[in-house]
Amino acid sequence: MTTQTRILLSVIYWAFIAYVLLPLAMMILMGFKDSKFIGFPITNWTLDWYIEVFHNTELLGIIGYSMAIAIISTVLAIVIGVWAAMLLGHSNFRGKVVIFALICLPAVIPGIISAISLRIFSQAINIDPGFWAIILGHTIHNVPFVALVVMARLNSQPISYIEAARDLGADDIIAFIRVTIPYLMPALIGAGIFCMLTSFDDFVRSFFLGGYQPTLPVYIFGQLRTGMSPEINAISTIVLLVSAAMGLFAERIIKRRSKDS
Amino acid sequence: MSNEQNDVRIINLSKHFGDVKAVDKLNLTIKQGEFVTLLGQSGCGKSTTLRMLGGFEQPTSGKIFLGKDDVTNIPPNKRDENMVFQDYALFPHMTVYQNIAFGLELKGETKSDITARVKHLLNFMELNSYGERKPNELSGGQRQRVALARALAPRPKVLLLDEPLGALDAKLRRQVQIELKDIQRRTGKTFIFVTHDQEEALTMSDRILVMNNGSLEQDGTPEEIYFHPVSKFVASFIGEANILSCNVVAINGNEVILDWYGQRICGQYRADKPEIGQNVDAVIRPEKVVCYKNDPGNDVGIEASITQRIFKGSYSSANISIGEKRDITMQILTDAETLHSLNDEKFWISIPTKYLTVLTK
Repeated sequence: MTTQTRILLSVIYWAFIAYVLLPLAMMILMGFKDSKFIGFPITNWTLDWYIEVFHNTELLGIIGYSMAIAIISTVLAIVIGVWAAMLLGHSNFRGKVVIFALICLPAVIPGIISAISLRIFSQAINIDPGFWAIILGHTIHNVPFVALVVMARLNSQPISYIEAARDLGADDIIAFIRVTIPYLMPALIGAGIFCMLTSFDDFVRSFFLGGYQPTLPVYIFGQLRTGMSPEINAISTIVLLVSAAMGLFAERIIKRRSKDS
Repeated sequence: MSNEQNDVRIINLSKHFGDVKAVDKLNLTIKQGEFVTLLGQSGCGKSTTLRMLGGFEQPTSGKIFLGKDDVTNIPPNKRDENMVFQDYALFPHMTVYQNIAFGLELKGETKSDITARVKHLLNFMELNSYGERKPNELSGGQRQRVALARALAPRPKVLLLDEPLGALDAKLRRQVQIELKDIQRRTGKTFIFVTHDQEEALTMSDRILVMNNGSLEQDGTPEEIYFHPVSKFVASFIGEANILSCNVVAINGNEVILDWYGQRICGQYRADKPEIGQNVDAVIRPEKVVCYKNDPGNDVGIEASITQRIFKGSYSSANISIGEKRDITMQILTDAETLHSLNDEKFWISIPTKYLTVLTK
């Protein structure tokens, strides 16, 4: 590589880094600006917006609502995803490819199509727009990711682990609970955190399937239309930090646990 | 007899995968406390037999008895047999202690019984300070001992071992072979061991079952298998062997006088009786060929010359050729000094009757 190409490549690299980080940095800075107007220059600094966030009971309720949806839909997605992965991973049967394709389908359907069809469907089966309808939408969207991650992990598990458990007196269910589940744990933690972040972040499905109570992204969107308060920056910064922390935590857990085997 | 209570009996056992007969009409009895090895090349059916004994494969036909009980259709978790797997299959998320305790917990033993049993086994396997380690923190030999302890913990009647030494390096493997035999002797358990390594089989077994193409080729002690193979397959599979093509001249009891390209030699048959005039294979181990510097006389010696000397440290081997035209070749094995004293061009060999096994084709 010549010096020139190397310089060119590093310029592109740093430009990309700036492109990733500058908007975030700007958002974070604006959360500390002591003014109602978003923009430079910043003359006075304040923590008021953060204090306001923690006193805004409506907002805290919305965050709780979003988190409840994220947790429940994640648990459901993991149960269905693991079940699907077990079905597809260990046996060979006719139509296996079809079932695999069907499970993966929600991952490739455009969000808006999925959201509209679920809205129609949930009304047809008498689920009102709101909490459970959103959970339904998020779960279906997340199942393929869980199934794929769990299947990959399951395929790396030597069959002899299960056979050894059976040999030592475990029936199928005990072998699954005591040997397979712990083996899958890194995949489950990773997939779980991914699902929670996706659900917490989702706008389209939550918007179409929601009732009067907004989820956090829907609420922020509503705030934007009525004029943006710097409070938004404070909320976003908190969400950013929590998500990043969860992502890093997931990565560390996966690395550490996978080393065991 | 109380001893027969835990014998393993296999009756007419077959396992077919489609058209492939992995195991075909196998019959055998394994006595309590025996160290029995199923020996054969890969694909001979030895592992399938072991997996049927463990309950991991369902036989196509035939029966397996453990003592008086027909266990043919009993799932692995309800059989009094435990397996040591080729890859050990230690549970990676559990400590050594938890691994060994697993089978005891599932048997519903009390916590204090489990603790005592695991401690005993850790001590027995010289793993005292390793109880809290995870399997990935152990060496290959230690993992192998943990796998053995885990399988022994629930006090099975029979221990099944599926090539458990394959992953160890050569030096460690020889050490573990001796340990394993010692453990078997001390526990008095029936060990059914599967391997493709003939040296391993000869070192450890009370009895070797040589398998070929899904059926039993020979059943005998290591000495019988080594010195008196019943077929050309066994002779060439186990150790080095000179297989001499001869014609039968006369038979006297179980002694057979043979014509070997004009040389008269004498051997013994143990399996099928040959007929006069028949062409047969006669098997002799290289180290049983006796060498002489000078003609021993009495028509005992056969003239030979050396074509290649191979130094192997504690002993030496040589390829030699025999006959007027020196067109018959065989291998000898002897100590380095004896070989050194022999003249390359001309020396004499003799073949002891006792060690020349005659096999009909």
